[in-house]
Parts: sequence; structure tokens; C-alpha cells
Amino acid sequence: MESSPNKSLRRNWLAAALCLIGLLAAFESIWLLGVGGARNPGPGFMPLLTCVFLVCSSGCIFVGTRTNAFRWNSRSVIKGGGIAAAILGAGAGLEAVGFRVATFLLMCLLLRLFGFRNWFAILGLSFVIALGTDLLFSSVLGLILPRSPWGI
Amino acid sequence: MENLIFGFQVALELRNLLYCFIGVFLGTLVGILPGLGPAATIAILLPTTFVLGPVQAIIMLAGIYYGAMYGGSTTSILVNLPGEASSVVTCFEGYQLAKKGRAGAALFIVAIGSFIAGTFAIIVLSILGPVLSSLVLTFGPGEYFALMFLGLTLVLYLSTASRAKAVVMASLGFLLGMIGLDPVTGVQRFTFGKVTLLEGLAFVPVAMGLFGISEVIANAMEEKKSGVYVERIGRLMPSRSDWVKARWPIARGSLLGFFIGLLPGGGAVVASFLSYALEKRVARDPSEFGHGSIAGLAAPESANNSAAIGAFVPMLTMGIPSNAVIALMLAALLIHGVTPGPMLVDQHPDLFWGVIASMYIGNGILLILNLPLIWVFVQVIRIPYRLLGPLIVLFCVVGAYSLNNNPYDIAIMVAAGLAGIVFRVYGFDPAPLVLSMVIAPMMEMAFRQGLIASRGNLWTFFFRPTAALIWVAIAAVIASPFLHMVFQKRRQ
Repeated sequence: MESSPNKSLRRNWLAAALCLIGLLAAFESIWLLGVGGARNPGPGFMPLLTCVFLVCSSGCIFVGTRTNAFRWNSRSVIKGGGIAAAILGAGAGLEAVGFRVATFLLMCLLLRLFGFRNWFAILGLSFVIALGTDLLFSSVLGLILPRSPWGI
Repeated sequence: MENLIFGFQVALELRNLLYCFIGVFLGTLVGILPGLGPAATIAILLPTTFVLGPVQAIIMLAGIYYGAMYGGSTTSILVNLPGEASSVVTCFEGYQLAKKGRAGAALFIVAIGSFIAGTFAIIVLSILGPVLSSLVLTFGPGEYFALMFLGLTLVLYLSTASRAKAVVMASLGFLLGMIGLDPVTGVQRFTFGKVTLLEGLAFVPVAMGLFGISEVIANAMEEKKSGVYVERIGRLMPSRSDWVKARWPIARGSLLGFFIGLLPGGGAVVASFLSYALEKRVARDPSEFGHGSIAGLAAPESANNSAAIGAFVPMLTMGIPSNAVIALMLAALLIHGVTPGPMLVDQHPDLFWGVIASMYIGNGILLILNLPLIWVFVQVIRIPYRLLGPLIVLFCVVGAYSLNNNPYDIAIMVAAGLAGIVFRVYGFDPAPLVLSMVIAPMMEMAFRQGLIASRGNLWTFFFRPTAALIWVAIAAVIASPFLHMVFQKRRQ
């Protein structure tokens, strides 16, 4: 159930990170925002109270058990990072290249990362999904989605 | 009764009936589509109602809202992805049931529970609406603060992880909820000078990231061949024992949901969380929770439907929106030249009673739509995960972007998704974070309003009768584990 020293170390890092967030927020609450008084609480009053809870609880946890559901290796971490990067890339390029092109590229990457091997299938599915979702969101649901400068 | 008959005459006009059907159908669809909640949909469709009359507009928008409560549970049960925020709790038990091959029974119980709760809430709304709203009118900041504190206290009991971890998550959520402009002084808090953070950290992308994106990425990282989906749906009709287990939770959920729905700031999300917490507390065997408990599934789903209807009371009778969706409907009424409030019943009886009667009809249509169509929705799980995973991501991307037409929300969603994976690995439950993020601004506002109004007298939060009663309940909740320990030791 309990884990190796490496895992414990990682848990300690997480608890320390949460503690640090609480401390930094507490610093901003006290010195930058102002706590105020009981008659007139300042903008930092409630954040400071919250920080006290956060720092105390994360400081005393040092996290119990790590769930055993996740068995990762470097390949799966790269895959997870790849998916996150693909979504971020699509978000960043959405307004520059338009919804259809961004969706097509995003789907190509995601389908590949999720296990499709045949590139013809990937390209075909991505094309169909890009057009289909554009039809659904733009025409049926009336969402205003960005278009590329060249009109696609 | 005469008024209600008049309402039915209005609601049964062919045009109104058509918009009621469109509303509930769209609502179900929106509830099923992850990342496209009722608030976003109503915001999108608001301009299209300008060509309609106020009665048709509100009938359709209301249908979207309570229809989404039905549909939201489907994806929660089948893919562990809440279609909208109030269905987050449904994932806890519904998905566990689905993994056991009982998705069909879970969907059936949810549909029936939703129908019963919805019908109950409409009856109460049409009979006791004005009385209940006058009761809520007596609430001041002290009562609101105490009530939200009770909500936060109860949420710690929701967590499947340890209470200390739940406190960490709730604190973090509270901190995230306070990002933006200070509600009293207008000072920027934790914005790092970013204009996009002035209005606060958007709740929907954070929820989509924590519950949706993190699930999809985690599944991809684990290289699940068949994904998160159940192997077998099981039979649709629940067993006799399921009905026995569900009947009282449905009744409790309906009652609690309606009451929470009445409260400004309450709404379907809080109702579903509180209802789940209540069932967990009253359960004979709480260990069932988190492993596919029928009570834990039926109660919150009933509560969120009941709350969705209950939320109309403050708007129709007082002109106060109780949540974002109702606020959008209020805006729609104002655009149509109708001012909601105490005079609405006299000045626009067709609207007031027509909308209420349309809810009876809409609730019936939803039952017909959802039960036979369960088989259609069930087909979703037959799609291979390598195809469905990317599609879920795409819906989330579009959902996040469409909130403000800002790619920045997509970045927030991805960041929340990555944080969600870390939380999963170390056994942190994200539910308290999400709930406290919603409650934080309202709770702070009530707290500071109370202090300013009472010139810094903290007793203002305790000495009003209703507030005092709520604090007694809070004390009981906090003391219950210790009392439980004491009783157990005495028994031994």
C-alpha cells in the first residue's frame, strides 16, 4: 500500500508546493492587498483566512497513499504531454488558422496519439470530424467560430 | 387552480408547445455534450429568442435548463464525464454502476428520479411559490454566510479521499474563486496584472479540465484499449431492490433540491452535492458510496432537477436570479420589456402561469425522450475510445472557447487538466475544489456585507434565528465524527 522513498519524496514535493502557494498568497493578502479590520475587512481578509487553511492542511498532510491505478512509463508521459501540447497548440492557433484547419490538425495529432496507426484513416477521419463539428457548432448551434484569413 | 388551467391553455398553444419541445430536446442534447452546459447554450441562443414573444422565449430557455439536468447524467454515467456541473456528483456512483455492467439500470433510475423530482418541484412551485419566496426574503447576509459555510462543511464529507486532503482542495478552490476584482473595493487580487483575470478565473474551463481533460489524458497515458467505457450495459429495468433503495433518496433529494434551488446562489450544483452528502450521512452502509450506490445516484439527480425548477421562484416572484442560467433568462425577459418581480403575476399572467404549465408538459416530454432514447445514447459507449477520446477533447476545446471566444480559456482548461492528473495520482478529490470555487465569491460577499452592515459585529452571523439554526447544524456536522468515535468506544 505505502510506497517507495521516491514516491514519498514526490508527495512531499506536492505538499510543499501547495504550502508555498498558500504562503505566497498569504504574502500578497497581507502586504499587497491589505487585511483591514473587523469593522471593515479589506480585500486580503478572506484570502488570508483561506491561506491559513491551505498552509496548515497541506503542511500537515504529506499525503497519505498514492493510488495504484496509474502505471506510467516515459512513453505514456510523453503521450499525455503530447495531448496537452496538442490542445494548447490548437487553442493558440485557433484564431490564426481558423476552426476547421485547427480542428483538422488537432484531430490528426490526437487520433495518432490515441492509437490510430493508419495515416489514411487518420487524415480521412480528421477531415470528416473537422467538417462535421463545424457544421454542428456553426450551423446548427449558431456558435461563432473563427475562420482562417484565407476563408476556410 | 383557475390560474393553472389558464397556464395550460397558454402552454398547449401549438407554437408554445413546439418551443417547449425544442427547448427540452436541445437541453437534453446540451446536457449530453460534455463542455456545452446550459449557461453557454442559453447565452448562445439568447439572440435567437429576440424574434419570439416573451412567453415562447422563456418556455424554450427554461426547457433547455431543466432538460440539461436530465441529459447531463447520461455522459456522467456512461463516460464519467459530467455533461454539466450539476452532474459531477452523478459520476461518483453512476460510473461505478456502469463499470459493473449496470449502466442501463442507472440511467433508468436517474430518468424516473428526475421526472418525480421535477414534477414535485413544479407542483410546489405552482402552489407554494409565493409563500416560500417570502420566507427566503427574510434571509440576510448572516443566513447566507452560515448556509454556504454549511455547504462547505458538508463538502468535506463528500470527498472520497481523506478529510485533510479535502480541506486542502477546498482551500485551493476558495483561493481560485477569489481571483479577480475585490467585490467591495475593486482592488485586483492574484491577477498578476492580467486583464483576462479581472473577472475571475472562469469556473467552467477549470471544471472541464479537472473532470474531462484529466480523465481523457489519464486514460490515454494508461493506454486503455477499450477506454473508460463499460463492457456491458446490463438490463434497462432496475431490480426491485434498486427501487427500494432509490425511493427515499429520491424523496429527500426532491425536497432538499427544491429548498436549495430557492436560495440565491444555491442552484442545481450545490443541491446535488448537498444531497449526496446527506445520503452518505444517513446511509446504513456508507461504504457503498463511491462503489456504485443507488442512493448516491438517485438523490443528487433528483435534487438537481428539483433545484432547477425551484430556482425559478426567486426570479418569477422577486426578480432575483439565483444562478447564471436564471440570470440569462432574466436578461431575456428584460430585453422583451418584461420586468420580473412581485407584479409579474398580475401584469403578465400568461407568462407566469404559461411557463409553469409548460414545465409540467416539458417534464413529461423529457421522460418520453429520455427513456426510449437511452438505447440511442448507449450506442455512444460502443465507439472505440481511440475515436471518442479525441472527440471529447474537441467538444471540451469548443466548449471552453465558446464561453468568451477566448483561447485563453482553453489554456486554463489544459492547466486544470494537468493539475487534475497530479491530484488523481496523489489521491486528491477535485470535487471540493470545484464547489468551493463556486461558493467563494458568494460567501465572501455575504461575509463582508454582514460585517459592514453590522459595523464589524461578528455576532450578526449567529444571533438571527435561522442563522443560529444553521450554525447548530454546522456544529453537529463538525462534531459528528467525534461523537461517533465516543459512541463506538462506549459500545466496545
